[in-house]
Amino acid sequence: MKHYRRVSGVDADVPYDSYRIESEVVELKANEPIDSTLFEVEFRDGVTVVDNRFEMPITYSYDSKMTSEDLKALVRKSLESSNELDALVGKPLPALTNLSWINSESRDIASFKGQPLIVECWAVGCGPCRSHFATLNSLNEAGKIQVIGFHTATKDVESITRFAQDLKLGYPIVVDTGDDSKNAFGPLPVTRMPYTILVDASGTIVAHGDLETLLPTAFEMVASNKAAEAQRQLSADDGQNSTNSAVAAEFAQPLGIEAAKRHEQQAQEIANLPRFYLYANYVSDWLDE
Amino acid sequence: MSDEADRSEANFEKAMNERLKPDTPSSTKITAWDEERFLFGYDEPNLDGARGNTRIVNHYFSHENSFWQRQKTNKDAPQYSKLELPYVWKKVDANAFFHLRSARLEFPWGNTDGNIKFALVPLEFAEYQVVGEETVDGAKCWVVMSKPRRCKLWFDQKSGRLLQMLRYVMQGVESTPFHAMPEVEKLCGRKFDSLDAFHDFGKATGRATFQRLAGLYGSLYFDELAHPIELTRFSDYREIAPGISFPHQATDVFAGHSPSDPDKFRFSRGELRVITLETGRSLEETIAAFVSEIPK
Repeated sequence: MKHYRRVSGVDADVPYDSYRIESEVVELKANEPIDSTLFEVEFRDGVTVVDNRFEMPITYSYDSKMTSEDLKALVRKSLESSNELDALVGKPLPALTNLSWINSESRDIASFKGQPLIVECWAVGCGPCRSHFATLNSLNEAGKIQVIGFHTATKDVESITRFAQDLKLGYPIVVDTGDDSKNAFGPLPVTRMPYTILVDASGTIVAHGDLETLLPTAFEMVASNKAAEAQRQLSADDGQNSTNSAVAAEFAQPLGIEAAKRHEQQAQEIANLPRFYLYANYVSDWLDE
Repeated sequence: MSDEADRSEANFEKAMNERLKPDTPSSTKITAWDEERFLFGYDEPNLDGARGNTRIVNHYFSHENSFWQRQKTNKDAPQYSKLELPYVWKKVDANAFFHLRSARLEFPWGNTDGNIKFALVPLEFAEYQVVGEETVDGAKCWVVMSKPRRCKLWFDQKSGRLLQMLRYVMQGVESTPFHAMPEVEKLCGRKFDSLDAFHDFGKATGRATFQRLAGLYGSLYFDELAHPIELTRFSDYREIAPGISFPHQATDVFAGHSPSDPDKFRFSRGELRVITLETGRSLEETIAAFVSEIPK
């Protein structure tokens, strides 16, 4: 069964799979001690752990021999990574060359320009990454925001392809080659998963962080992208063409409000000018005299 | 244009297309600031009643955290008065800011306490709505309304520039008192049993809440109390700094009550034209000259 819901900021009806949960109490006791084994977590070596105990979340492959020093080193690396990512903001998304592509032909990153792009860094063994799959699929289907999944080199391409098919991941996925010993995600200095890089329609990195945190910005970009496109069409033919007039009518609210906001911004830029000297002539009178 | 029975937009448009008499006297206005100072004022001939011959030059300026008025006529030596900034703001000629009046502005060269010349309600509470498309001076415009700010703005669809602004004044008695409105209770987080209690709250509340209340008043009562009071048209935009344009002409139509019949309105027309607009001039010498005139 498919249900449809309107996602805030995106004017496409996005399909959602729905399911039904039934719960039935089998046994209910009061004032009984809780089995202490419920509080014991035993990791197997090799499982992916997203560890949020530190000032910076870290993701690592669990190794029972890891020491606290090893963990501190990962936290330091994660902090450095965040700084490196900050340095990328405002710059073009680096080319993702020589990588394997799933759900897509091998593509030049430049071909993703024209719409906002979400690059989601993830891995098959990453549990928290799974919580983003439905959202990423929905965004990809709605077609207003492009999505690329970026997988580490920790699995072979065939396994990742099978996984993507089993979970019906429809968006393009690139797989790191593992050639770069420093980064797990090609040119991106990302050290934790899931992690999102947000790229604007011109191909420039605008933000990085958690998907949920970045989505409002992405939706705003969709709205302003549409407004800009309608404005471009209007400028192209003075708004005389009926098709373009229809586009303008459809986007009247965002376009007009965008103009008001730009005007406010420009007025403040004038107020911020360090020097301003205006000398004017003024003529005025009542019109009934 | 004789006294009109109403302040309809049609009457504003009619006044906008009227011409002033060729012998209408002109004055000059100055609006300036630099890193440390500001200077506003006018130089107006024939300002002693019925077209006399007294010329009045009036300046407001800042100097080392003090605020001054310099007033001079062609008959007397300059007179200086030391003022408080809110009073200076009351005297600032808002027209001389051209289209900047439509925005809420913070000026780095002075705090804005008492500044009522610009949009009081911040942009985030402006609740802009596109209410139509119209042509102004041959350019197709978005017509954008803000009830909280009590204004309607016309933006050129191609350039995004503000071509026209209609300001409204709220006049009349609210059908339900503002302090008794549920929206006010929600915003303030409490009920008000009386107008006095609401006024006491207003005196003690922060600037942000005050601005939001001002916006809310516009939202709630615009349809029953708002009347157009001033229509301004902007033209001849020129770039004054990289990426920043400024209109070099503004035409202003204002509606006031008729002196002969308070139920009717008369319209004035003002034409403001930039003579000089620079973004590099220092006010140091001008204001130093003023300061040297102040008696010790």
